[in-house]
Amino acid sequence: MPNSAPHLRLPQELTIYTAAETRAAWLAWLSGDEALAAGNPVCRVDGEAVDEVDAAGVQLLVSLANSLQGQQRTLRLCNTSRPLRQACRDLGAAALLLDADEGAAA
Amino acid sequence: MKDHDIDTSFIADALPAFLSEAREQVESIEQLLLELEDTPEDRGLLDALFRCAHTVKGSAGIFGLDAVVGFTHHVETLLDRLREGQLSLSPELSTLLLQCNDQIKALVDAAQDTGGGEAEGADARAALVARLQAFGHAPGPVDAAAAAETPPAAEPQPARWHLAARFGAETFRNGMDPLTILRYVAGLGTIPHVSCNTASVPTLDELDPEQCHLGFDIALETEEPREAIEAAFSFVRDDCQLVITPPPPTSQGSGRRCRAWATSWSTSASSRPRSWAWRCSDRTSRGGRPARHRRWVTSCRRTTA
Repeated sequence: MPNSAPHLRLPQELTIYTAAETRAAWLAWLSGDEALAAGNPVCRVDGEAVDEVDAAGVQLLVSLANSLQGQQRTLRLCNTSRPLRQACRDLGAAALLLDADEGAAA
Repeated sequence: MKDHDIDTSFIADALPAFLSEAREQVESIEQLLLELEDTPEDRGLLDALFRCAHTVKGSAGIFGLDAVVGFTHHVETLLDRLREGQLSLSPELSTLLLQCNDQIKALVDAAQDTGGGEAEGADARAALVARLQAFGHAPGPVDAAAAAETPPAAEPQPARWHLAARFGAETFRNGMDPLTILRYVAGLGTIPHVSCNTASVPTLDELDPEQCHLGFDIALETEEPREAIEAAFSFVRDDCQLVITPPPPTSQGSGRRCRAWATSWSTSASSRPRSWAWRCSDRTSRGGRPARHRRWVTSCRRTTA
């Protein structure tokens, strides 16, 4: 996948404690997403900053992916931090959320 | 202790309750061993003995108390052979198990003092483990009879279980994290496959982010018994529907564990035995985040062996 600029950058913390505010921010982003207007089918989400994540955080990502799917788009995590990558794998969500290369990476 | 697995505030909140319950289990083990001196083949007492040790080990694992888990595992393994009739409880073995129980108590006490650090007496425990293993390798009444009739068994292979876990809506609000639980399950063996049921998660506009919608299908390869798998979910028993499907009976190495049954927990199963009711505690709000309420309910005694 080309290293194009991400459409969305994830916060440092992606847990139950920040889920409500993160959801609100993503809803606002979705409503004004320029990539959607441009008709880009893949939404690249940068996960480099995430250093704290739990199941509620991954669920939020899945929810975002489902929202994008409703717009005929696909969420792809890129540049993922180790904690985020490991959490996605441990919860069986790697295939859904990660780029193929990153999903295979250690 | 693995920092990423264990919420430190959880340790602080719930460790005293674990320690108290663990001491009760240790006392029960001693009492059961004394009762078994008169009826060493009483299956009910042997089952209860196994469950006590298993509960201590399983709960200690949740708290990352590796020393307790490691030592109690050896005791539990031998107790499993006892209850399966592969060994007989001789007076010598009973004495050995009482000595082991003293060490479990010492390790539990050390966990209170150090939060899980090693207690003194590592050499003594190593010697006890060696004696346990010597007993465990000795042919018992079943082994001796079977050895004359059956060819040597193939090298045991881990049995593959299938777990379907659907976490309840209040899981997050009750302070539980399925990620921690799945990582604990992974510690029981190997997970060759896990998938998240993403279709059950609403879209963002319909999502209550503090409500859990997660469900998982898990393949687990382990030599641990069913009780060990169930124990991993014991803290979410009221918040989880869990179906455990055992390996097929033809699986090598799974032996007596390969029975055709499945167990299911449901949030509506109000008739479940609950001999452990862990305390409730309010979690202190962090930096303006919503205060969290933790409810720990588990059970250490089961109506079925």
